[in-house]
Amino acid sequence: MKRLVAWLEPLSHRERRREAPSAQRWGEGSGLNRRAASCVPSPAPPGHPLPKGEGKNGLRHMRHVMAAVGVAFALAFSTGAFAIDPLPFQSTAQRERFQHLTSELRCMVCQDESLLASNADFAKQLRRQIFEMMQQGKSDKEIKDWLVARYSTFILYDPPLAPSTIALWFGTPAILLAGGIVVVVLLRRRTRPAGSIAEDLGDDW
Amino acid sequence: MNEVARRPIGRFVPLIVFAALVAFFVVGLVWNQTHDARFVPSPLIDKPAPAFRLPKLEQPTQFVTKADLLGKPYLLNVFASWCFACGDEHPVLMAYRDKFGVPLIGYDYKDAPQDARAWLQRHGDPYHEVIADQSGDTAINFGVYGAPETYLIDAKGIIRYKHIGPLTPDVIAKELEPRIRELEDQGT
Repeated sequence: MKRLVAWLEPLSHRERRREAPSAQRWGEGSGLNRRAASCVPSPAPPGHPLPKGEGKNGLRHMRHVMAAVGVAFALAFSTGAFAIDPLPFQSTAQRERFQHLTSELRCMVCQDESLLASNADFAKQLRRQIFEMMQQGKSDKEIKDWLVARYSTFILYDPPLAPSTIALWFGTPAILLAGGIVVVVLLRRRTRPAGSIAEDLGDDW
Repeated sequence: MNEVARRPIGRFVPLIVFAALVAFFVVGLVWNQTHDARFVPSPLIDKPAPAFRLPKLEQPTQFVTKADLLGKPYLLNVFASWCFACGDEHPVLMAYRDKFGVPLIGYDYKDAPQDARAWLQRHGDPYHEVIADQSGDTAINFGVYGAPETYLIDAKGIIRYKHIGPLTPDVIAKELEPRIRELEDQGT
């Protein structure tokens, strides 16, 4: 849904900040509220003529239907939607590379969103920087290294294999392996020859 | 008889596994209580601060560079007039500006200069100098991703410490002041 909202409303934080001077960065839910507020369907422009034979209620009804249709359309086309910047890509391939790269990078401000999806000012700025670096012919790795040098590996959604991430990479397989060993040991005990089963009674856990 | 020898230990295996799980969860809970995931440690600690050249807020035709600030330690405080938490931090900075023992440089982050000037006029100016980064491009080199953030930079231009979020008397007493004293003792 966040993606959809970002897609529907490519207005920058700064512009919105001007509308609402109390806009903050840390701690407030105001971003969401403002987004929601600006997603409310706008009323018909003043002086908009009522269609013939339509009472006020009829018009309101029709507006609801149209809003629903609009939302349905938006949802239908929202797969892979992202916050749109007017970035002049040289080719479709370059745009796809950009989208792939930014989808693997974390927005440091709204940490559960990628740089591709986030509408935060920070993400916009980094998207622009990444775009410029791509124009300069920098590889994905060079761009990632550049970001990691400033924002640490936290900016990568895919954590690199490092001493601090060993538990992350191998912890789960290790626990799975340990569990597997326990299961195997237990099963072996239970399927022992009938003679030893009697001995085992009482040892069941 | 092999069985007999093994049995007493085997009996405790589930308990040990359970205790290990509980230990994991306790560590996780304590970690979450004491670490705010929004505050990502900077990889630039003990590395040279990035070179910069930014205009002064009050005299936009004059520029301040990293080289200008070398020679003595200073605090770089990232703030903005649009930043709510900076308002919380502001009285603390006013109270401590002369107690730090090092200059407090304001870094106006992605702000309209007139907004920042009005904000400082309204609330008071705790800074010895304010530089303005309107585009925020230089801030990326510092690893800024929100405001307020505070950097302690030594006489050689090395970033010694970074605090993300508002400075509080507690943070200043426990984290910042010991590091400033340390720099003073080293004479760097």
